[in-house]
Amino acid sequence: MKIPDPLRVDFHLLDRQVVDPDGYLIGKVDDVEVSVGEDGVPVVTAIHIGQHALGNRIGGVIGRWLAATARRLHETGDPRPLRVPFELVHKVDSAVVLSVRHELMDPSALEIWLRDNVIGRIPGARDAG
Amino acid sequence: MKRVFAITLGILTAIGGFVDIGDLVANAVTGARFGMRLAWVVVVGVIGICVYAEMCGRVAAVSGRPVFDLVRERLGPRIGLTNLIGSYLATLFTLSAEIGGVAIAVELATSVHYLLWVPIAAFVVWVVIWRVKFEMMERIFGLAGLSLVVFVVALIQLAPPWGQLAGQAVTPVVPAGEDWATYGFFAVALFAAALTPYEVFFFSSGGVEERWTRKDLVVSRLNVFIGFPLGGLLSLGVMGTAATLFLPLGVRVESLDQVALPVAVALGKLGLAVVILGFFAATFGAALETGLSAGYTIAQYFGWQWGKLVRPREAARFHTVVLVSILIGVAMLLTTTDPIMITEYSLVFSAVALPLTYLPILIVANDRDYLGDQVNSRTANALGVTYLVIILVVAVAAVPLMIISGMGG
Amino acid sequence: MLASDYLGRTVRDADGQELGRVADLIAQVGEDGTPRMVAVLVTPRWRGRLLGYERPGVQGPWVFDKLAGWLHRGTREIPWDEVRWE
Repeated sequence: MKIPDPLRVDFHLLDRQVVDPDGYLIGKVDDVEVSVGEDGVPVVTAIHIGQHALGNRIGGVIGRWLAATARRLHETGDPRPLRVPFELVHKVDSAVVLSVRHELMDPSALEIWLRDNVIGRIPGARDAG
Repeated sequence: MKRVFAITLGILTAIGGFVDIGDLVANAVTGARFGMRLAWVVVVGVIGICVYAEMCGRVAAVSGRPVFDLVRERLGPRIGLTNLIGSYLATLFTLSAEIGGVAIAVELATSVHYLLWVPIAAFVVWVVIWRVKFEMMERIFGLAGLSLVVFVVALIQLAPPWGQLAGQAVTPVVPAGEDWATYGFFAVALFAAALTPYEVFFFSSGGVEERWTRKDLVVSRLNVFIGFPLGGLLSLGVMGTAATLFLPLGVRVESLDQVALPVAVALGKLGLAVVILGFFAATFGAALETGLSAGYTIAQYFGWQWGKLVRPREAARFHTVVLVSILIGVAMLLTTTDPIMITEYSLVFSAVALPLTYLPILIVANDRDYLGDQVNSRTANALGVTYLVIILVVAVAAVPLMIISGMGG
Repeated sequence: MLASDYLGRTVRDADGQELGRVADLIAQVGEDGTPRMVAVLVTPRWRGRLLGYERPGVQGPWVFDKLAGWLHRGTREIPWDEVRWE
């Protein structure tokens, strides 16, 4: 049993760590996408990862600020959270394990910006600790 | 044989790594004012950190999830965020205090004012976090921190009236000339020094960094159940020397060189050299732990890649948080705020932030989906619940006691 | 729709009677691996996460289990098609 049955969307999915097959930390499940199928029954179709989604859930001043900074950092493409189709979820236990490697997904805009402008410029940034 | 060596090394590291600036200050100050009348708090605190460090070590080893990951997962994004802000601030204050402690230790050795050493100390702390391998970093500063054993040696050398110290320890009452609020405030400070939140952030994240599995549970438990109590013994040594030397004279401890004074009196220059090394190692090691913990809390809340196992450029957000936290810690010290004062504030902050960190650990340590057959025993639960109640009381009492007693007056 | 659009909302039954707040969405995983919604967990008072004590099976510490049971009393699963999301 790789996905708990019954699956509790709030308990099993929301706010769990998302990792790739090698254990690389991709993000948290910041929201879950639900779509109504042909038979009228809603199904879980994707997980959303990103501060925009988290900010919208937290709400208030801090939530709006989180969502706004996440949107502003996107230089290319559209400022939306990373959307991972549920078919790519391989396992749900203490983490949500995906069946694809993180290189195949859009990396976080904040991570790229900090890597290119701050951390990547410091000598030794390429050496493993 | 190799395994025995590794385990011994781990325990020694845990002993040396237990004491930090908060323990040094809180124990010396209370020893000088109350003798051993608050020693029981150290014992209660050490048992508490053992109970919770064992739990989060087990959760990290079996499920691979560090503490702040669980905080958001169990408490949800809003309460988790409140907790994040509190825990981060407590860790940041502690980081600043530890950097100050490193600078003062160097001042004691060189007689050059500590404020000049603050930027250098902070830079070296950052370079070590940036470059040195996790295990190496842990071992070096943990082992060097063992030199604080000199406090126990000094205590024996001072030939204190043992009967009197023991008498104080077993009759924990407020002495004449002190009031309940002050006694309570220092009890909170000592308790928080033993259970600072960063210790569980660091312990569990360290377990994940060292790739603990079920096989490492024994090592984790030995570190906790032998290393931490022996570390607590060093704290009591600090308290005992202060109680022996300062209490009869009515001298109050207000700086780190006073903490070292009893050792110098008992053991001379050599003792002083060893104690300065001990201060340096203990505060430097703790600066590394708090610097990393500042990054761990934020990165784990948001689910970012963190830690020293990957190249820094692959964990850019984590390393940025660590870097910025160190810079803020330096800025706080450069306002010329007394590091001892920062330490005392960090302890109050820690006391307030504790319950929301320890609650999810206790809940998840009971969750079979996470731990399978390794869930808490009845004993662990009884102790866990008892301590959660104590922590809650301490958290509620911390700020009122601070105000009523005027930071202990 | 997002899960956060459903969670926390006050829902009613077919007769317009208030059921409570939505605490969780319960899905059954089909043969194709797609989770299909079957029920809504509603709770009369609580707003935040239920900490996991709402799941069947034993979970300690005993005090927490009892406390959670009392705090979340009246929490129940309502079949998805009986819930009205006004």
